[in-house]
Amino acid sequence: MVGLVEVIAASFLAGFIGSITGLGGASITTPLLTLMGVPIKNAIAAGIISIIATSSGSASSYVRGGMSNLRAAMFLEMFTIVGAILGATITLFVMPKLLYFFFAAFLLTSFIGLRRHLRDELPSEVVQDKAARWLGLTGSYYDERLGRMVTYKLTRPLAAGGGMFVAGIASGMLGIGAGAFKVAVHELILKMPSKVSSTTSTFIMGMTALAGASVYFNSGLLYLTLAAPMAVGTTVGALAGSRILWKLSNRTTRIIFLIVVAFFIVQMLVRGVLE
Amino acid sequence: MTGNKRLEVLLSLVLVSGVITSLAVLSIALALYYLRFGQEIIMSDEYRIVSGNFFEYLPTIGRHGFSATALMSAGIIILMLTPYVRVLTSMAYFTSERDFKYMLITAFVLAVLTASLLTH
Repeated sequence: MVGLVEVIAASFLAGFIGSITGLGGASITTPLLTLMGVPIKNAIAAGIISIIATSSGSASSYVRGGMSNLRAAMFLEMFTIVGAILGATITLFVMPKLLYFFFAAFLLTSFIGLRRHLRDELPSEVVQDKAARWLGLTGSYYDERLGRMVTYKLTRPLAAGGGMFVAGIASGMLGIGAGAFKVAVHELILKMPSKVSSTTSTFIMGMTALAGASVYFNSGLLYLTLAAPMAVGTTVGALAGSRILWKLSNRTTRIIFLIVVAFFIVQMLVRGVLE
Repeated sequence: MTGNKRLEVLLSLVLVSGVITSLAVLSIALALYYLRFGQEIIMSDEYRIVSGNFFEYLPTIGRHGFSATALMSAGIIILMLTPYVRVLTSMAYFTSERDFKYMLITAFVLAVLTASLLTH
């Protein structure tokens, strides 16, 4: 069985990478912990608690810097929380082996979605639909690397809501932030600039994780001795990561994102087969 | 300060104070735990959350006194309350701004979370 210091160290690293990429730390800690001998359902329950910490810790500085689109986030949260409650309920009943394959399959979708768009720095000429205008989904942020304010419009919030519902299911079911998928939905459907999308995804993650955690809370799967070190490790790691994000280009965050996602697809497939 | 800026500052404060408090409490808890048990992660019932629901669990934290267990529970609870307070704050903000669309949106989120925390 894994020791306290290892859990804290693994969580720190996961939080750091999760914060830079918008993936959320638990997509990394959950597989790592299962590798170290923690039953997958216990890792998931503790993971979802730690995401609340990762997300809220990083989001606090992004929000203050005007990087996240709060209105879009609040609209989309309606969909993610319902999904997360459903997803967590599924995990309570499903065979553990299946969870590894769900993990891999889920990561695969986000990988395919983003690769095509690697060259685009900022979305251009977005025409808003009715729902987006009604919700007032526009925004601006200061892009440090471009050295100017970037204004943008979002579109198709209802379709994005559908995508976020799926993200919520994955989040609740696998105890992850589902940041990869959320970022893909933000960029491909809403047409959100890359940097806004990862910070907005981080902001939404905390609420989604709380919805999932509410289901695990009295399930008997939640151990304080796992959740506490994971929460501390990921939060501190994420705060460290958020100090660096400002200095990275959209392209760099995407490339890190792609490498990390690819790595975990392979890892979870192998685990699922071996289980 | 423009409307958005005020909301940004408010929510940032909620998030940062929730996380810092929780982190501080959990760090003390982990230090106490480490001094007493060392490296081993104990997965016994004492360290497992078993309760009717979240709101019933709240008053039971004090039962273990000033111990690693009580502090771990408190830290986790503060963590879970952070997004909860965040949505409450947002709703209060949109209500005061008479932004009814977003008031309803945040009210929906709050209602679903409360229902789930009460029934699980």
